[in-house]
Amino acid sequence: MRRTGVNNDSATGVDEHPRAVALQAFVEHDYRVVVGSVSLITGDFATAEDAVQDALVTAWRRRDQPIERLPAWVTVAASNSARSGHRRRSAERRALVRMGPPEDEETTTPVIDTDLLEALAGLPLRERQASVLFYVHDLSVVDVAAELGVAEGTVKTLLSRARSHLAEQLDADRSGGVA
Amino acid sequence: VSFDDDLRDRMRRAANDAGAAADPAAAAVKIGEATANAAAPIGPVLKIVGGLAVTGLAVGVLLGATVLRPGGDDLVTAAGIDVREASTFDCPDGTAIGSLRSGDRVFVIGRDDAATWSAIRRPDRIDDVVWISADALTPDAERTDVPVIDCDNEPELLAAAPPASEVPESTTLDTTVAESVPEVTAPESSAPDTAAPSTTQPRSITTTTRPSSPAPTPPPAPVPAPTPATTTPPAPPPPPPTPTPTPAPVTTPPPTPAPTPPPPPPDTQQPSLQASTSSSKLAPAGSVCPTYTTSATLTVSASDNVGVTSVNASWGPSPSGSKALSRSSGTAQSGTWQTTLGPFNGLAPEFAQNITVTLTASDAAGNSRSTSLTIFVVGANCDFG
Repeated sequence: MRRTGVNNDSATGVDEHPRAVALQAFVEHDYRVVVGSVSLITGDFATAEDAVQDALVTAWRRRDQPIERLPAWVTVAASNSARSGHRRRSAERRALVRMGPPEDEETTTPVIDTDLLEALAGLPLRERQASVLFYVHDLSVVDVAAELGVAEGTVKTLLSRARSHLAEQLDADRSGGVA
Repeated sequence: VSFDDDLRDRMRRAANDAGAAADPAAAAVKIGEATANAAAPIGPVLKIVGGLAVTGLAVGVLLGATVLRPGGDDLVTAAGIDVREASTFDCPDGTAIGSLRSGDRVFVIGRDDAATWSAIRRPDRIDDVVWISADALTPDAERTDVPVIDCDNEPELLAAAPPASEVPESTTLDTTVAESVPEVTAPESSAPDTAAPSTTQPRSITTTTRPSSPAPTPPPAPVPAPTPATTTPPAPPPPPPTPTPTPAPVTTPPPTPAPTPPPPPPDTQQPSLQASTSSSKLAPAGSVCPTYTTSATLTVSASDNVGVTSVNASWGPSPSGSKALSRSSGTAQSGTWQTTLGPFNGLAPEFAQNITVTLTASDAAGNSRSTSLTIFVVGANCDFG
């Protein structure tokens, strides 16, 4: 995965601001996979995309603060905000389901590894975040720790627990049994 | 393939699948809106700052053109009141309507023909113009070309008056009428060449001058008193350009006797006191008289309706002396005073005699009362006692 994070410095214009350049690059190269990553964490595609866009706006507002790994930062920020906004959006979705989608609106449901989603759904948020950053974004344990703001040992613990849980769930699914 | 590799591939594939439906264009729009909003506030701020700057520049130009610009065609000028108090009038020979005090700031917008009266902007009624003696004003800069305006022509006055926004904020006006003002300044006449001084002097005007002004003033000329009630000397004629330096006549209001409280009744009460001593038998220092001490502490409890100012001890006939006691506790009205008496050294070994210690308490009015103690004083041969 490309790393489009930058350290900000002085810029003459908005369009020429390093953060603006980084965000443009992010949208072109990393946006979809980050939305997918957040979807794995939140289990909700619509929530994930909204949260990613909100995180991008936040990244722009905080353009004076350095962000070393923008995709990872957006993933964590979006998944955190999606958790807080999950209830509100869930209520909105339930209302939409009751009313039914507009006739002229075409809904797109991504085809996702549902077994993996279900297995991830059984993990705590921190373990989901650590797993996505480690496996999807290919971050090292040190970098995952930096993104989550925890110690390296904590990340190792999170990854170990997540791996054990996922292995158990996915192997059970593969064999068709229940652990 | 290890489980980790399999899990990594599976999660990446799932992330790609889940994000495949994402719309980067929507994200780009949102980012564009954010960046546009970041740039947007600059515009209104610049407009506000620019507007303020333009406004300030306009005000500055207006003030400079009308007030501050040195030159010959100024219409108004700022001035300060240079006398302790000066009446203002509705016209040069009109009615006193108020007063200004030393330190007040006004705008001079015009003058009369003789330049003895100045038309000023009345601070508390910005749409009005009042007149004041030119002698009472000290312009910030010399202005000899303020327009000559006619008091009766109100539109002319208002046209000459500066806008309200230009009135100095520090200007204050005492709106008390002239009749209640103890000292005011007024020129004798607005048209001294044609009118008699007694007819042009403002009503209810008494004269005063700058308290410390060394400005030359002609000697006072006899002028009929404007009103019978006026007790101060009449105003001098307007100051013509004369080189004769003469101190300006100064009148001061008669001193008003301050109400004095009735004197308190005289203090005739004597202090009261009680005296005691820690020992009534004193022997010289170094003596071995078992029942004697080398010194005694004199203690006096003294009280007075106003306050005891001093307590003194005197003793004699031999040895003799005196000593002041100091207050160790209490107050002047009721306190305890103490001092130490003795040792009496240098007495003959066989000396043995009573001395009388007189203790006197006094108050500020000179009242005093005394009491006495008897102390037996011996020499080294205390057995003789």
